[in-house]
Amino acid sequence: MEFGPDPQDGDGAFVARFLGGDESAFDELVRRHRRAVYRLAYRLLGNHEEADDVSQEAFLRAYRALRGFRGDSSFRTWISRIAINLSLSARQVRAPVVPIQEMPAPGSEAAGPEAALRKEVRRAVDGLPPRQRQVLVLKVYEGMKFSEIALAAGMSIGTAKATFFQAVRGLRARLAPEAARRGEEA
Amino acid sequence: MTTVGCEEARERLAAWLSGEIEPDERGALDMHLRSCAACAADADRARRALDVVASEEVPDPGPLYWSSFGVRLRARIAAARRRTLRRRLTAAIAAAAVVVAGLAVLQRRHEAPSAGAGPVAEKRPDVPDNVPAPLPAAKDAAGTATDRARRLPGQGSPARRALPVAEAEVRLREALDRAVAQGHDPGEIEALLEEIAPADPLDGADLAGHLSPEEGRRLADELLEPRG
Repeated sequence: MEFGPDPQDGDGAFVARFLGGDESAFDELVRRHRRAVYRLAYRLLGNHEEADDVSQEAFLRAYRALRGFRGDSSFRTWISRIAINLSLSARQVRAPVVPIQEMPAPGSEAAGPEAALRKEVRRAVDGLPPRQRQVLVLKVYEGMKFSEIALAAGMSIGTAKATFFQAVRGLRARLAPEAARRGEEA
Repeated sequence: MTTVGCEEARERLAAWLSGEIEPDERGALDMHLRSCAACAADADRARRALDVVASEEVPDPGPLYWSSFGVRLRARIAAARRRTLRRRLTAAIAAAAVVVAGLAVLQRRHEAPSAGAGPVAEKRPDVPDNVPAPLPAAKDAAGTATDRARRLPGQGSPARRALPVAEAEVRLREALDRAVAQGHDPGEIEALLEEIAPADPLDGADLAGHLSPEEGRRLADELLEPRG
């Protein structure tokens, strides 16, 4: 199983430089984390427009709040938590829509097994309760440890583990036929 | 190595799937999975389900998007600073206008008893004729800085303040006077504010962008409050 990339820290120096008045240090923090924040928002929201908006807003709020950043967690965990909360808010206010990516383009091969599987996966992840979805995304795609997930999602480590297990169970129930078929092909 | 039952095996499955499992726990779980076909099948299905999920990629928005990301963010930060600056100035002007109005009322009440006694001599003792009369106390509350800026050369160093600040203060003073005379019309205050503090990202940007450590901590905590 391929989890997300290992966290690259060393952000503390950039945070310190920014707090010392070096604006370019914040730009560097943005460069280091913008893709991860975008990916996280995209996985939680399912479309580019909202993921873009949440990414920008997360960094804007980080910029304004960085002076109060206590360093209890890594910058990555901190910015992830901001993005998670923004994504949750975005999901609450929006009307349920079918993401564009799920609509097969005319003449495309969207009816193929690979597309069907992706669609099934997206639907399965989308169907999870928000907290399970968050934990799953942070663990599977962001490669966070449970201790980091606990900080990022605002829960205890035990709850993070239990929530992850519930998410896996939920996915397993939804994806069992697809996974079984894939296993047979492998 | 301790052995585990089906119930305990299921509890450890999350840690096993995530790779965050202690070696001795892993050994015990592996042993159980080798001996229990039901749990082994369960674990295998869970792992495959996660494999399917993990294979799902996020479409990359492309190099153009990433090259503009920082620029757009900077524009957003500048816009947020302007909004914050405007809010702070509006609040300051509104507060000053209320104070000025209150003091003006108090001053009128204070002067009322002598109103029927005829004009009071305007000549102030010990003050040369070429020195402007002091501003009323009511106006002084909001216009102290302006007064300093208006002092004659030699009467105080603040007279040589940077022009935009002095000019802004004069306008602020005039805006407050007009606001008092016209009953603090918020619309007019806002319009005057636009004259005083035009939407320029360089104008007062530092003020709005820098929070005190306490403000920053509060904002950081608010951002981290779960909303879901």
